[in-house]
Amino acid sequence: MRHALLLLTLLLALLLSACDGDTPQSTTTLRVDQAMGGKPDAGFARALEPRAFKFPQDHGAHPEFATEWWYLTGNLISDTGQRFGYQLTLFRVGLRPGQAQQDSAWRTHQVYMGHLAISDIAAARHYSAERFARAAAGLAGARSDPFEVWLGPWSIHTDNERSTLAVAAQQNDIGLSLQLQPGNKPLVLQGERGLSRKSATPGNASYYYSLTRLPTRGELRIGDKRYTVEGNSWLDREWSSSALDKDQAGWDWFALQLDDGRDVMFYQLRNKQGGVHEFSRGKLVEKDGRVHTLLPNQVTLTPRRYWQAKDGERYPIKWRMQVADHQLDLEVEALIDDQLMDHTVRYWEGAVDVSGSHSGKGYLELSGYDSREQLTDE
Amino acid sequence: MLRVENLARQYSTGSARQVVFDKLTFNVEQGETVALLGASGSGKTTLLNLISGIDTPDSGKVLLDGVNVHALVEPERTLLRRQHIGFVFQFFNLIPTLKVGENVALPLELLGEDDSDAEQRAAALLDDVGLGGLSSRYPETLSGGEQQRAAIARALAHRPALLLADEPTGNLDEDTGDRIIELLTGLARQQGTTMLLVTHSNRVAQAADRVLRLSHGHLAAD
Amino acid sequence: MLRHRWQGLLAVSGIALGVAVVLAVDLANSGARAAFELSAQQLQGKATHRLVVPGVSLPDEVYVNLVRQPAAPPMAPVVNGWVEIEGTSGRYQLVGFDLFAEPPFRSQLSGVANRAGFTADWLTQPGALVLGATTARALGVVEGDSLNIVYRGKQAKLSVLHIEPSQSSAADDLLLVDIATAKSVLAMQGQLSYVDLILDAAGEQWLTQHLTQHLTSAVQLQSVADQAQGVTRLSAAFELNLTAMSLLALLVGMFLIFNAMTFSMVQRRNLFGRLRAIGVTPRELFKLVLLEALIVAVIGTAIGLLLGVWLGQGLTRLVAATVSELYYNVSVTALQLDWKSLTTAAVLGIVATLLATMVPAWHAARTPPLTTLSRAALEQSARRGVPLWALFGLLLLLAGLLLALVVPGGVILSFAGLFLLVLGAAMMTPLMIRAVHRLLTRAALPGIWRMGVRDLDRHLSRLGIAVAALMVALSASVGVGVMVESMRGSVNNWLSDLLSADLYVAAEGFDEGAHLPAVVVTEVAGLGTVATLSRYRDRILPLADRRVELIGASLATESRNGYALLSSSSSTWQEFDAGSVLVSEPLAYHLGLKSGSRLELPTPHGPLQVRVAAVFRDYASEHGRIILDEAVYLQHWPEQPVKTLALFAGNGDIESMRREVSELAARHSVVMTPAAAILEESMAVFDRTFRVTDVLRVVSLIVAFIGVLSALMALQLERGKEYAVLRALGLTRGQIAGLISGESLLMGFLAACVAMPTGILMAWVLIESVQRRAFGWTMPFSVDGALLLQTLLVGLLAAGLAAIYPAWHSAQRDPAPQLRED
Repeated sequence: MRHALLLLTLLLALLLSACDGDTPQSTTTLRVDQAMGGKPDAGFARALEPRAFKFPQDHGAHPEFATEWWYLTGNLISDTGQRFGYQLTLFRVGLRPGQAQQDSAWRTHQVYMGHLAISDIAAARHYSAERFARAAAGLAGARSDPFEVWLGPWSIHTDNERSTLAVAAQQNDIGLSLQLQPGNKPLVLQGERGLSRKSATPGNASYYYSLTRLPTRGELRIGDKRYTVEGNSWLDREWSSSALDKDQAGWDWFALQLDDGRDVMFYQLRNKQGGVHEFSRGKLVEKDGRVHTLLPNQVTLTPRRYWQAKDGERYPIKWRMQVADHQLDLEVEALIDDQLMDHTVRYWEGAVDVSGSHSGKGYLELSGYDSREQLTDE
Repeated sequence: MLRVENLARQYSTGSARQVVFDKLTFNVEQGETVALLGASGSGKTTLLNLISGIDTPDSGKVLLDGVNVHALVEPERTLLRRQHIGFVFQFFNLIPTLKVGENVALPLELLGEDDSDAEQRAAALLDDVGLGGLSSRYPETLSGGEQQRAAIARALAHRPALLLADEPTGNLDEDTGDRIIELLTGLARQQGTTMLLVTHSNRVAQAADRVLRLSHGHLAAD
Repeated sequence: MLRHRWQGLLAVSGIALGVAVVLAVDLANSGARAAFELSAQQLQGKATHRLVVPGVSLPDEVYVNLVRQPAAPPMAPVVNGWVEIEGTSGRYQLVGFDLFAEPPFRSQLSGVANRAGFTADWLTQPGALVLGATTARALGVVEGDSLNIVYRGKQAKLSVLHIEPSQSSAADDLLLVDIATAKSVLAMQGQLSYVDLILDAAGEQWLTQHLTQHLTSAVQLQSVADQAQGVTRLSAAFELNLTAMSLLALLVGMFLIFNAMTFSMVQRRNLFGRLRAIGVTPRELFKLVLLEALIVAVIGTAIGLLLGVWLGQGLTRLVAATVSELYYNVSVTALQLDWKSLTTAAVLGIVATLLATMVPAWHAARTPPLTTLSRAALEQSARRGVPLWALFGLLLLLAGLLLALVVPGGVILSFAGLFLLVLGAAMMTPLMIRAVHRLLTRAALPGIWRMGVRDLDRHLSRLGIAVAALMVALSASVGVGVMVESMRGSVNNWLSDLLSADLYVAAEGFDEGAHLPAVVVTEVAGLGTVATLSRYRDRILPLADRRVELIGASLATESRNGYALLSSSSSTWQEFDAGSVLVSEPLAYHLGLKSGSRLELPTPHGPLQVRVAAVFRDYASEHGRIILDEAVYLQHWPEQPVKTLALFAGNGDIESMRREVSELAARHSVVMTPAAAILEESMAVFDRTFRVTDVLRVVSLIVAFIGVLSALMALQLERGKEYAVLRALGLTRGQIAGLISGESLLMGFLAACVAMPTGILMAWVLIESVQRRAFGWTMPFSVDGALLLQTLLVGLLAAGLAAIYPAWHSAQRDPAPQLRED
């Protein structure tokens, strides 16, 4: 469920974009629990029970749900041996349920928000960008066959043979152009056959599937410098209309690709008292593709080191993860401390290294640590 | 002809009140030339202004041919001046932008006299005061004595009943002054004009028929 | 002592007034201009370039395609148009933005969305509107209210989603809507008005390359600098108006200062004589006087700047109100303290003061010790100078005429000529006063009147300049008045001739780009009551840096007769039918065309050579208009639809034609207008354009009036003793007051007498030189007797009013104290 966090009523988000453009460090804040606390518009569909996924249709958009995303992260290494992390997320937000008025081809209820980030590990620099567009007149949108989701010049789409995913995003001083191979891992349905419940409240759930290891090659650009890179990507697909309960504060989400071929996804939901919520879940994917569910009582997470953002929030960027059932005792540590996504929605999302009983690479997402002034519920 | 009765005038400057004169009474007969002798600041000029109706007294009367000057309204007093009074000032007070002849003709013009008549009369008067030929000069181009002569001509132009002369020699040297007094008294007598001559000089006063001494606001006959 | 304090006060106030009026008029003009430009600028934001298809809109695809390019620079699409709001006058600009594209460009949307949910409402509610607080107040709406707007005759409802309270004038005057709403309301589906871009050199290169590779050549990339030359300017006529008024203010201000300073110098010549007597050297005296003048100048200028700013605020609102009525709503929230205006006014105040002091100071320095130069002698020497001044003035006047009418050049030169002309006339004024004085002295006037007449002549050195100041104000008033009247008459005649048809049918709104549906054209032609008709097609053609209107017309004989042809032959219309063109006078003037000239028109398929059949009189566009036979026109611009139809009933019944056409007009939502209505509307616009002129004329007259007042005041102060003597000699108070009033009225009369020929000369220069060079059109010159009479009355009135206080004051003064002193 990871980025359920971003399940925000994006109205707030958009509002900020209008304020500050590329540098939204001021004014308003979203606290995830706040953003997600409001009741979803009754006109949107809810994720109540498992569904029969159909592909390629389900790769496309589900506008009957309020929120949806295509979430790519990955660890890459250049031909000169430099390590990089990247993130490209395209969010779809339904501003209102149902069809928009037909007064203009530019009228729509659907809006896309995109986040792009590159972590230059050697230089210890994290670059990020944000953009928005309405899903009308070809400015942004998604389709399933042939698959494409795009937001202006940012795009994820299948190539002509439909065997690889092409990922392209350029913005000011950063850019990427990558080809993602299917690899040999299966599509993993998260939660209960793809229904990922976040709390006991029916409907506080999303549909969620992952492609956990996509062999990747291509080119990264930082400023005028271009790097030929290869590595592995992770794609999460999730859609829903509401997620967190009132007492839930945020989550710590791990997506780890171990060198022995196993992939681990686990999200730990935190309640407002600081405890671990019982609906925390995960999956472990064996090298051969077999999948095991991870429950909160099977996984022990201990924060080991914090990084303090300039607004004072403390993000736990080094963890010990113990999964006794699978003989895992891992140290998970950020490759760069500051991989804060300081945009309309503020969260920490960054490349990590795995050591301990097993080595590997991965991505960590920390949400609900935002200490800024809260917005009202409206 | 002129009777001043119980005339009183005081000036107030701020809270201080300065009595110029109090209960001043005297007569001037028709055709008489009376010198009013007094030191500087004894209120001589004020007295003349009161007689001519330019200034108003605090109490008392000025009777000119039986008419109480200060019982008249302002325009009537102005007309009275225009018709019956002639002025000779210490500082001549010719109108600087009018030529000498025009200055002399001015009182006649005010009385609505015909232009050519006025011109003739002015020319004749200027001849009388010895300024024949200077008619079209501007006052400032004349000497002090000449200016005062012109002023005398102007004062007599409209044949006033009463001529008021205020230190007419005050700004002139002795010789010139003598000649001016001579001219003034001569012309006044010749025209039968009553004249009140204000001066601080005994020498000037001697030219008068009668001398009144003004000191500390009171009169004393010689 | 009192006298000197008064003199100082008068000098300071004279300078202050002069500076104030120049500054106020300048501020008002620049303020209105700035407000107008701000509105234009708000739309421009930080954009450096703009993508347009000249004359038409830009297809959505151009933008969408570009926005998906990886190397795409920041871009923002805009859909805008002029709309009317029901129940209000004036036009408003409706601007459709894409909120998500805006952040790098414009600030006015930044404050807009401070309420959660705003974005969703803005994007999803058709008709959602954001207004500035000022506009909202003016329209009397609050959030949640709706506004009915009209665009090209079509109604649409907008609802006020948010009122932006921000004090910045951004977003004021504009109706901000989502681009989807704008596309729907302005009927721009699939189209954009333009796309703003922020481009660096590399971006520009990329884009140019991309455009040539992928897009039709119709799409043009324009820099913002190019845009500024475009349509978002005040009409040149209005600009000219404002400039002329600034010039007028400058002249009057200068005269006021000269007036005040010469006065104060002249009055103290005796003092200078005494100073020389006690051993002050000429050089020291000169320096002393100049230093004093500098101090007075600085104080007067400082006060004048303050006063000018205050006065300017009121004036700015007035001018802005005119701009609003004429163009679209601009609001002047705060006075624009324009440094250029402030500096000009300050420099004027100080330099003019010092200049005005220079000659008298030189004279003062040369004063021989103690020979207190007498008043009369001084005036005599001043009078001796009169012919010399007049000669110099005549030379200036002739030089001005030469500059404006003979020397080839631009409008600036015309204005310089105008300036010299007025200055020359002002310098000749004292001679005129003397001449009139001579005439009057010969007339048999009653004594006291003669005195008044003489006084004016004798005090020429002081009163002359006051009269000249009043003369300048009056003559400018005559000049501008005659010009406006001539122009009004010409426009009226021209329109009456041109609008020869019984009825006109046009697309709703008469807007640029509006056109008639083809079906209307066909149906109207088929109506039985229509005897003949003329068709007009119209497009903007860029030609020699001008936005020339190219009209393709099929003209009925009656329409042809409506054109006033300035150079034509008997075969003009045959040539026109054979493909020659008619060119409007402004275009002919600027391109040097006459009948028989050749002209090259750019068409989509390359240049078209045409012959000029004739030049016609035209005031419709200073850019110029070309009329081409419809058949030829359609060969080159086959898609251009008909914009207007002119219908003639011939011998038939106009009323039944009107009924038939109005029934048809209702069905197709087009407008049917009788010629008289168009004429009336046009003349109303004309009058509105020049309404501000009247206000500014009044202001300059008031200032000239104050100049006369202060001159009289100073003179009365000086002549106090004289009046006392006159009172002693038997002048009544009424006579003293009458004397002063009479003198003043005489000044007014003289000023008006000189102002009339000067003003007519000015009008001549304005029409023959300024108008011609600025717009290229000519007009018959007509002088309205009523205007001249009015000038005389205004001159007398100003002078009469100015005399009231000095007359009253002098009459009431007690003569006794003054008689007692030297």
